[in-house]
Amino acid sequence: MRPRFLLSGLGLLAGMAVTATPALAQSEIVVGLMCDRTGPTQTVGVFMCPGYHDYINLVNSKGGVEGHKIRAIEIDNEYKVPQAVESYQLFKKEGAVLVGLYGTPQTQALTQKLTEDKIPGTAPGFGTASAADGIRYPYVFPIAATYWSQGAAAVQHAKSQLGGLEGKKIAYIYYDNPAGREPLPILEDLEKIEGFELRTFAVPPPGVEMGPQVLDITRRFRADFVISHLFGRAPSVSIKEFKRSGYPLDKIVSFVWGHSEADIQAAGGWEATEGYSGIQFAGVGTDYAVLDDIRAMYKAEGKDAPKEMDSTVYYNRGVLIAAVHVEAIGNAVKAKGGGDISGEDVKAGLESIKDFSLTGLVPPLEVTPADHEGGGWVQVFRVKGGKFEAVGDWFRAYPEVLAKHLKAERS
Amino acid sequence: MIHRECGIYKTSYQADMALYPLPIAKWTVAAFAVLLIVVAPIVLDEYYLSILNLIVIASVGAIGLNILVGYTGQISIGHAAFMSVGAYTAANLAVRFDMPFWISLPAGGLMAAAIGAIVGIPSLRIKGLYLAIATLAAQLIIEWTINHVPWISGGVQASIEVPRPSLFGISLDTQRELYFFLMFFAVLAVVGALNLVRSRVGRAFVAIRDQDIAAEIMGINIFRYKLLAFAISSFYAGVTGVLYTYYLGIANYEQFQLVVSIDYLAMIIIGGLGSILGSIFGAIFITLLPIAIRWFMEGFGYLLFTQAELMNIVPHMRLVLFGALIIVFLVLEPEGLNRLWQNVRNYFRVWPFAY
Amino acid sequence: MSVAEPNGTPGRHSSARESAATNILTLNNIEVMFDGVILVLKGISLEIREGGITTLLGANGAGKTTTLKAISGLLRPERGDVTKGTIEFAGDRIDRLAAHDIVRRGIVQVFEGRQVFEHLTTEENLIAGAHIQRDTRHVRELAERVYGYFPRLAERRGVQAGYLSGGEQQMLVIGRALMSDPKVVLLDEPSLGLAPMVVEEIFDIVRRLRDEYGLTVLLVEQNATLALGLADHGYVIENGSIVLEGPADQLRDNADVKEFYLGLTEVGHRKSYRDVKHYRRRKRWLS
Repeated sequence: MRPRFLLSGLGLLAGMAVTATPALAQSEIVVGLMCDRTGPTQTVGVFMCPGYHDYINLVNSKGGVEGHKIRAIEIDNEYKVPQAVESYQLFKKEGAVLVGLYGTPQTQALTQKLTEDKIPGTAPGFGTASAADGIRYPYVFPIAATYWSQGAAAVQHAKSQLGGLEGKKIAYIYYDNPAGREPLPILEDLEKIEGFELRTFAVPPPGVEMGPQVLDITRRFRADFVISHLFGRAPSVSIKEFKRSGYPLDKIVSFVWGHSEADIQAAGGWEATEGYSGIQFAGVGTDYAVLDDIRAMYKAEGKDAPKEMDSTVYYNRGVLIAAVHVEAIGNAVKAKGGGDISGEDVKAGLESIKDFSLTGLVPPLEVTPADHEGGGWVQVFRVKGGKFEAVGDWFRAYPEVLAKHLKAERS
Repeated sequence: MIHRECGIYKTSYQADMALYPLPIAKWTVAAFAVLLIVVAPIVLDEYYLSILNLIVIASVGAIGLNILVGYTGQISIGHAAFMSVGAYTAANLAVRFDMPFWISLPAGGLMAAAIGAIVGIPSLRIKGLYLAIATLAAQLIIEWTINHVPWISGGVQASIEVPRPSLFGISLDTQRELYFFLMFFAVLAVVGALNLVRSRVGRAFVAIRDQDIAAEIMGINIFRYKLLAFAISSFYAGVTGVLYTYYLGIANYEQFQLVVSIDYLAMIIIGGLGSILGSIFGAIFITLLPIAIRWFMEGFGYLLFTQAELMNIVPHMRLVLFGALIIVFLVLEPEGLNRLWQNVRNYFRVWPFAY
Repeated sequence: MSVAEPNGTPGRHSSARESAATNILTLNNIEVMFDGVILVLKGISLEIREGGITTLLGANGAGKTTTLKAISGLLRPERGDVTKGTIEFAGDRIDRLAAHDIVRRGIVQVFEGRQVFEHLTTEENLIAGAHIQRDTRHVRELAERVYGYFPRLAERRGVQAGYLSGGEQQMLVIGRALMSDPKVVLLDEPSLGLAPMVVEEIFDIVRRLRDEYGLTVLLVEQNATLALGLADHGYVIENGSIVLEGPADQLRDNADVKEFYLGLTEVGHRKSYRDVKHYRRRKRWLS
């Protein structure tokens, strides 16, 4: 086991010489990161994981968090639950005070264990919407808009695009799994409140064939707006189908897993997808000072910036997760007055996250003991002129409706 | 289990039919049991116990599948679906009716057995690949049903949180406590399976596998015994699902998808078809291999790659090595790890006289 | 035949069996069709005498094995069916029963080709054969009886059946059939692919089983010399019909049987095809 101690430490020093001294190791703070670069979600992992490490390396290269270096152990679980159980136990053994979870079944399988061990875990874009409830799940932190918040935000976006929803028709096309069905109660509630007509269209797995659904939406239902919640290959297929049936792509808004550079490429490139919009919980694009810092760090080492940085949607999410981790650890160290922090301290650190924007890449999160989602902030981006362009600023939609549902879920 | 004898000295049927043919085997098994049940939980830390726990759970499922595939010769790629049936049955009983584990666990197994017997009906008329497709359909239908019937799945997320099992008012929540909990049922499963395969029923299974027509004219009701094999196998699968549910504290259908069925088939093929010990070997192999490869890659990978490269290469190389090692082992001994072990054992059994 | 009363009625195993015996198994004019179109048996009638050895002779494809399968209820897996006629065993109709029920009534078939369970030991094969026996002590007694008749099996009881020689495997399948404690054994080509010495050994044992326990045997053989040497009564089947029938010694002397099944002709005398044609015509007339 000795080599792995050494090595993981090394990784944080980003290719520097073997200098992991015991003195340094003592003030190290260990974070476990599950990140699947293989398995069904590898298209996300291969970009997100490097983003995470790059930001941690950046922080370490500037002296660490309050003088403490962070050691991030990464393990790939191939999206399998038993492997996730094993990696979690390894993180715990290595003294991790914070775990980056990956995948909905894995997040759910570890929820109880995290609570028992008092180690907080972050699950942006994974897990259930009810995990936003910090009272019910004290050690799980979505720290990003849940599917409920995304559903509300999508309706809000449609409202601002159409100039009111009264009497309009909105189609919801979704991957037929629990995650796909999760926003339904919110959408149905908003249908009553806003007075639009909602119709839902399920796409069965594996989601590579949706011609009939798209025809239904465009020809028979004649939707004024489409909210799409798809995964994997399905988003690009849906873009092509809508394009083929002549539907305006700027009248579609996708959830967070259907709107990355890879989806755009698979759907035929930037030009073919002009107008296609999507919800994001981390800033998209390259215009953030923090990304320049990462590039500068690579340059100082005499290297080119990694090609993963070009895939800004997932890379930036990795940066966001790392930034939230660093911020929480920083809060914990400050509160404790030293590097000897526990999982409980980091939980408190997460729950005091407020007012940090990471040069605009992170939304104005405000995590509280009751709200582990941080407010459910999102920003809509649209394909325009060969890149993603922000449509408006960060926003949160219908918080009172979401609060009502969370309360109902708790009881 | 390294015992030696020169020749066959059995003089009675009891001796011949005994579970352990030699007295010394009894002692080695007893020693092994003490090692696993007393020494391991004291010596090992929580991390290694968690790996053991995963192996213990997988062993139960692998034994169940081996009863069907290895002993009875009926293929099934719906094993994971039967696990989910057990998991959701137990979770519903535990949450809605506040049932303790000693009711919900057998109930989960029995429900899975009932569903398994229904799925086994086509096995009367179809064999081999055709039966594989029929069981695949069962896997997908069960997955779909759990996914779409909130009454079973407990809501839109299709996951049910289950409280920890408790015994005499003590909640079993550490890896060590859970280890004893899981081990208890695993031992029952192993002893049950060992006795089953030596029984009248077990011989009927083997007869059906080897010569189904000859089996029929010995008075074996093939249909009934095939269904029984499906039911017993599914019972084991259901119990595996319940154990997973209690171990993780949640029942979630995504833990029981098609890939899991394939993993279990891999376990029994690598471990050895038609062998209980082989099933356990397979569960150990498939659970440990990814971990071992990761250790190896992280330990020695730095000789070839930089750290950033390594992060990207380890997971992929792990997949490649995983596949390659499985092929190597199968070429080395097509009858599985159990056969490999027997060869070693038989060598020492008559050592130094090879005859 | 059971161990408790090994001999059944006294004198059953005496030389008087040909005349005094009753019919234990009767086939009344049965027809067997495969897939609903292919008529394989065209009205077969057999009378199997209790405690005797009856042989069914015939060329390849004549319908011998199909007849056996019709009796033991094994046609269904092959999409065959008894479409006409009845099979009666000890006064009950059995042509509609499932194979495993027929075994329970006391009829067991021994396949050609020695289908042992390769991965089980000799002894386990025998125990598996006693599937319908619930009483383990009785199973032991039956096994001992089989070992008594087949000492070679006793020597190799712990060996995996796949490693036995051909003769031993043939003995094992017969022994395995006896483990169900049957009244009637249907023996299909026991001499197939075995050395003459071994065949003789096996046939001797079958004869002893008849003489000592009054076992009823229906023997299907291509080797007519051997079969008629062993049997009490014989049938000749061709193209799905019985063409000849009679006591074994009479059949042995029958000129046509000599010619076509025993391969005996007067030395130096070649028959012409005209005689063959004559025989074919006569067969048609006979049937």
